[in-house]
Amino acid sequence: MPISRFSHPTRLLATLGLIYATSALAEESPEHRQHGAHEHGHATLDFVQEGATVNLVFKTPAANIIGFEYRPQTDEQKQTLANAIMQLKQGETLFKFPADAKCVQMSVDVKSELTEEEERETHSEFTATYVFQCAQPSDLQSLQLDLFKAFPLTEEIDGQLVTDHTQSGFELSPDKPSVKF
Amino acid sequence: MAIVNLAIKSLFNRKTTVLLTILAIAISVCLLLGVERIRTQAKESFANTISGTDLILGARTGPIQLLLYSVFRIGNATNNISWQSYQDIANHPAVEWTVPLSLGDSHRGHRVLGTTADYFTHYRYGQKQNLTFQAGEPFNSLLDAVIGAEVAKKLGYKIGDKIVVAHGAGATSFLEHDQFPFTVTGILAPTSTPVDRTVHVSLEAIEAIHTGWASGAPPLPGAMSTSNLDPAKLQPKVITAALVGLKSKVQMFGLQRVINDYKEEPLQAIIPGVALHELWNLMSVAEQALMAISGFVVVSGLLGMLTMILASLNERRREMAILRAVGCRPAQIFLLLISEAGILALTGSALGVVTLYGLLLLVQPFLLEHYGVLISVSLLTLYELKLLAVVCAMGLVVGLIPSIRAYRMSLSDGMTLRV
Repeated sequence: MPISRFSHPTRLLATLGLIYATSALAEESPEHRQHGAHEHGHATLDFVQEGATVNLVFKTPAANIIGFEYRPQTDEQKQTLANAIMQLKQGETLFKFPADAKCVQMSVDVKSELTEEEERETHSEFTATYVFQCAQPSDLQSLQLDLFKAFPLTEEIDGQLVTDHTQSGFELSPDKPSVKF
Repeated sequence: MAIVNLAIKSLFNRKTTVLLTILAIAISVCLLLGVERIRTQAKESFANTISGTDLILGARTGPIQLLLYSVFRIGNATNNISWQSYQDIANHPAVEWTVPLSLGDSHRGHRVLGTTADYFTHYRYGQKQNLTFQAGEPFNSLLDAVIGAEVAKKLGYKIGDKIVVAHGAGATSFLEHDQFPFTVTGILAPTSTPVDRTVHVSLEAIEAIHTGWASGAPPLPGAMSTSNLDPAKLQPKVITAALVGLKSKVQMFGLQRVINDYKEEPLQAIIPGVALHELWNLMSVAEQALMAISGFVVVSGLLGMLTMILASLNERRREMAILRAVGCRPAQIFLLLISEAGILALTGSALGVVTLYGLLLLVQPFLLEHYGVLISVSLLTLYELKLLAVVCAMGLVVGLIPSIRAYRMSLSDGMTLRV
């Protein structure tokens, strides 16, 4: 008999209290559920040039870079992660601009859930942001990616391109590692 | 030259079959060039429609869909976005200007766009050209409307005319906002973009004409008038999309990420050029298929020509033999037949080009009106000339087959009587 569950008055009160508490919680913070896409082998690259400044944002699942997405357990894994971050920070070895444009990397910032304190049970990503300064931005006519060699698990990169003159998109892969603007 | 003359006269003698062959080649060439023309011109027309806008803000959907409904008025919005979210984004420090867009009503088949006067300063097309007025000025008061060049031309409107906006986007609507007739205050100069086919009114006006419509039907006659509208209530609650300009392009992707991760409402920001690129990527398979099909049609046209010449060789055994008998060398017989093939391919191509221009002139207004695509009737491009050259060269190559045959057989075949 279902009613017997509430036969004891205190238990009924406690249950009602619990229901009240949950509904109050729901009212206070409406839940937002949204998730970004995460596809191994696939990465995105945003390229924007304004005047002499070039910004690049490279966002990739951690699996493409180090082969795993959990927090490093062994010393070997810790070393792999440290090496990958080192490599990601050397933007000039990953992105090749035409030599005439005379581009120099000014700053870089690599972010990942893997280096954060609290552990999260989710996929991990790297987001690397580069700032370049180019002495001759008018010669900036193409971009070649050497990062397919550095990170061979990366199979495909979808890009958004914005320059002073144009907006476009591009798709790069190990077979087609460069784009003309 | 004498041989070419002879070839022409010989062809003229076989008018019917020759004409049909030329027609087959002409149709195939017309198709090939038509596909190429529409492919390149549609791209150009789309690319010229919006320029100088950094981001388009709308409800979260596909980038292509958002671009199509907000700028090209193709299809409908999946969702609107709330005014509050729009204000949040508009007040972001990276944003220089925003133009809200509200769609959903129509005037005799033309979309009505609710926006602000900023639209006329910030919307740009082609090579960052501003909209210009061929008459009048932007809307000032509530029930002013600015119409595109095409609307004015087609419906014969001039400054001061009254127009009534219909509820919904259909070409014929029985629900009309006739309590609030608009006055035309401005007519825009032609742009060859969807702007030409749009009626522009203020956002407040869109809000005003819908007050009292809560039941889904028009309010009772006389119930509403401009005098009993509360201006404070005319603040729009939702818009369809917004154009966004940034202070610096460098911030574009940062703001795009902020908008795409916006927690309070599922918003999306797209970069028009990137979305267009995606659209062309999607279309490229269909484009290649169309090009391949028209290529094959050209081949079948030329094969028809081959059949025609080969069949005629049988009937012309006597002709060839007589030519040889009066002193024609085998090389000249060869030249005669190859020039026949050349003349057919060239005439077919020329007729194809003429047909193409005729058809373009015919369908141009239709395409512009229904699909918003301007196909300009311009001179042949270098690529098109190359395609024509390839067709003619292929015609000559195909012509080699009967020519070689005639070259080898003309004497022996024609002289031995086997009728």
